[in-house]
Amino acid sequence: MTVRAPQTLPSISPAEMDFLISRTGLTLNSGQRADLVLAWRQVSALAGTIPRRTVLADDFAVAFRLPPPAAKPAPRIGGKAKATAPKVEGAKSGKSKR
Amino acid sequence: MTTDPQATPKADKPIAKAKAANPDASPPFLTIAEAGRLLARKKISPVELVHALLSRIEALNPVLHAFLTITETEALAGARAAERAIKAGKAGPLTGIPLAYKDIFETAGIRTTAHSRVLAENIPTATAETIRRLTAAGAPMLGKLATHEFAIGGPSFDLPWPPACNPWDTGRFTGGSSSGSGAAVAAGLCLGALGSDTGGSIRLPAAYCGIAGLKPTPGLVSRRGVIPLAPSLDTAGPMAWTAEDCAILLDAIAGHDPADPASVAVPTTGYARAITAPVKGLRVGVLRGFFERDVPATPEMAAMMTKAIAVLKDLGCKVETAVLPTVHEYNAVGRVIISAEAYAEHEANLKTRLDEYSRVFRVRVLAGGLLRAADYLAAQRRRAELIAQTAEAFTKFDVLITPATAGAAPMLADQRPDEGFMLPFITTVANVAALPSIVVCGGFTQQRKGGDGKHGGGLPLGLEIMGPAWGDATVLRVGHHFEQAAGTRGVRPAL
Repeated sequence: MTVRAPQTLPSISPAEMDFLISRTGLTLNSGQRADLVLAWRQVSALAGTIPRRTVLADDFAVAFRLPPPAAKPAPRIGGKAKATAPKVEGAKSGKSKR
Repeated sequence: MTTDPQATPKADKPIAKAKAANPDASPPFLTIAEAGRLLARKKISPVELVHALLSRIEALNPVLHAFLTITETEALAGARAAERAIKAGKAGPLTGIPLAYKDIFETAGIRTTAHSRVLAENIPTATAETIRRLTAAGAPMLGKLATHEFAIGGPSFDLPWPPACNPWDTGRFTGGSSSGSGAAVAAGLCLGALGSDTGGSIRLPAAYCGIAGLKPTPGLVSRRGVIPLAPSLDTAGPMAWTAEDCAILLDAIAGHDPADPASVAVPTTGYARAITAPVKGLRVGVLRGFFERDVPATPEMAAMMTKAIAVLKDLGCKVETAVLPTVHEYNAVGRVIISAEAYAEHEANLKTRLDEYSRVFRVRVLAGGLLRAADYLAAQRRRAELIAQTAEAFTKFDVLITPATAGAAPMLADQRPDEGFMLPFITTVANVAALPSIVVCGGFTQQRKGGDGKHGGGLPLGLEIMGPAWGDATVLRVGHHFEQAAGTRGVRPAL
């Protein structure tokens, strides 16, 4: 079964490859290096097909969802504040469903 | 091997009892739903069922290489506990149902290797949350199943264990990475299994091995205790002979886990109950561009799709053509994210233990170390766009269908280390788009080419059904009704 390749594979010089590998700290033998050249040309080609339309104000690609702040107990006048355990989002009390 | 005189099965008795309920099924070939009914009625005992499966594993695993570790002692202990629960009238749908788990799911006190020399001696101290829930539901564990190394590096022949073989033709590829799960379920070595799916690793073996496999909506099933491949895409899910069985398993494993940061506190449905609702009136979109243009289907796969569309129309579904971005666009995003995240997960070991990994793993992961942060963020940014674009399609359709692969299982020896880079996976679409997706057996090829030549039947062809986020019950429901109407569940591999 023939499947269309995304595009022609980019080339890379031995010096460029040596530079990239040196940044990883990996120690490769010649066979491993040859395999990596093959793989890198393919991954690089795929990465090259991804659009880079940059609209800075619209970039929500990386989002961190922090749990909501735990509700603070209302201060009590003339008495001790009741200690409460911090709430965990989604945690249920009582019997488990299962 | 544990021996227990009290647990020794009487010759052929469980088989005879099982056939009374389903004349075509011996215990290893019972579905989870069928076995559950027989167990609840005490027509078969959990201990007898486990013994029948252990015997089959002993006979066939040397050929299929589906199990890396067989946990006979734990299986029998679980079966005895299930027997007590049934006698006490406390049985649930999974009480006494023997299961097995991909060997990236950690099991306390039981070796968990990820099919890698790097973890060959790894004995975890905790059990994956999904396995904990299934064990609590009464399911005995038969053992740990083959995988591609760390769920990506395979099939490999330079590891301590050989790759799993396809039960329909042992010369053929199971698909991966949940290779042992696909082989074991299809061959009747266990009634159900767990797999993981980052780019298609549940659904590809489901397609090539002719079973059902569900990649749930991200966040529905806990990944705690599952060795990660690419955390922003990883999911864990059920694999079984039928969509109904996947629903029964999902009922046990779905639900919020505060210890998995990606787990979402959403109400879970009763999936096994929900799938019985009719599908009449559902809007089905056919992703013709995927298999007519992007990943051209073989003539037999195209014919399977034509029949599948006819089956869905007969069920009362409204079927029209649907359009999404190309498979290549999803695949590029998925491959860049997987390469980058997998390299990051393994970087420390790659610097010191590189030669212990398989060649396939190195080819598929090392290039991630050369990617730039800008490439990775571009992929994540594009993923967000693709999620939104794909979700838009579900304003017009309830489910989208496509073949899971271009054709039937290829030869094992023909697999290339760089598979997935130049050859896009249709299954990766659902991972990138964060959708639930099930693969069910859509049909079979007419004639087998190559392979061991021992069997005359055809090879399975997988139908993929995708739904909107949190539409897990809908894809299970369509898969269930399709299986019932298409009649693809009556044939097992001849081993």
